[in-house]
Amino acid sequence: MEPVGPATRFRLAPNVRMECFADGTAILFLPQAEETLSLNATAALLCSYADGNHSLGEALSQLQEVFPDANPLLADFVACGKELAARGFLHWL
Amino acid sequence: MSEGYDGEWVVLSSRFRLGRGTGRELSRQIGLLLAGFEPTLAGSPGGDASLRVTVEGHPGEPGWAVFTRGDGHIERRPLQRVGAAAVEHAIISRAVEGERHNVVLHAAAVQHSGGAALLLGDSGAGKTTLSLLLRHAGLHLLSDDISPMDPATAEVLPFPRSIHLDGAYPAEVRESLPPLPRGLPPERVPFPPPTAARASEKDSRRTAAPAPVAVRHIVVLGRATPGESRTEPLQSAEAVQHLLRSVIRGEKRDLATVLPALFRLAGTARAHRLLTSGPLEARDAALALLRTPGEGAPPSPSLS
Repeated sequence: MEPVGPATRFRLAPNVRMECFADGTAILFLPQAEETLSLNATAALLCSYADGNHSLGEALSQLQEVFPDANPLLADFVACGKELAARGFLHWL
Repeated sequence: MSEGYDGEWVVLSSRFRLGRGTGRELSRQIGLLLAGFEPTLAGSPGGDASLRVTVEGHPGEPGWAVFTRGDGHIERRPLQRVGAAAVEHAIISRAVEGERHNVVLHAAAVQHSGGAALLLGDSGAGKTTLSLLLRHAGLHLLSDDISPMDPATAEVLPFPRSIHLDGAYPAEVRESLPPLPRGLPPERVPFPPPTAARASEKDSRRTAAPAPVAVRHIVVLGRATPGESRTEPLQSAEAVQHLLRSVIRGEKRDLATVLPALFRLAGTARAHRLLTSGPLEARDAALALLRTPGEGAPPSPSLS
């Protein structure tokens, strides 16, 4: 597989459920493993683009549009995505 | 609340009845410890499982609590030392593990004018102490250790099991509790009766099921060094993780059936972490938190 970068598309793993809250945070739930993961608002936003149609770079652009004062780095997104993938919640395409 | 041995109690979805052959004194003591649970409640969920409890063994020695269902099925639970406290523990454990309707949380709960506050924390975090101190301050005690929650509404129910005082407690705690009945071990106190106002309210609905209470606050207890005490807001996702750690998983209850209720709860209650260096400080911080205007409102959107 190619290295993960701005053009890499991604999606939540099959069966992963995402519950979003009014404060922007979210919970990911993997039923078969009975595992949960709590996401802060930035990670939740990243996962909201995990539909297989968006790339990491596009997700980052969207985040900067929604939160112009925020300054997230692509490297942070990549690291977050890799952790989610390592824990079975996300797949790279 | 019954004064003594009634011989039959509804605990969650199970109905327990002491079998003949349990000694008179042991029966009386078990009855005192379970007196908070109403023996007959119209509309209560009791009766899903009706169990006869018999005790095998001699007082103070290892023995068994034997649960016999109506269909003859028998379950045996070991008792480290035959006595009222061990039998009560076996009954409560059986009720919690066999619960099929409510989600059961390892949490204390108190009721204030705005609703209920769930107090979460590991064993030894101070749930019992804080809940009794809040009762002493005028709040209504729902439970000091175990809180059932209706998964459909995310409301909590009272759980009036006996109080386990197995450590050092502020003077206010001991003073606020009724005198210990004869024969009970000093670390087991029957669930304290409601305040006078609550008592008359309770009498008026004696034949009704315990009223569920909407949860407005989730308070996670933690320790801080002196001078470093603080109250921190928790985001909803963090609150869910704390709630998840507090769920007592019963038979055949998987996470997927529990999560929707926790999501609902975390989405509607305000959650905070209370870091304090002592019980009285925790009480003052909790009272300040519970009396903050705007309770029940979700936190403002933020980015972290």
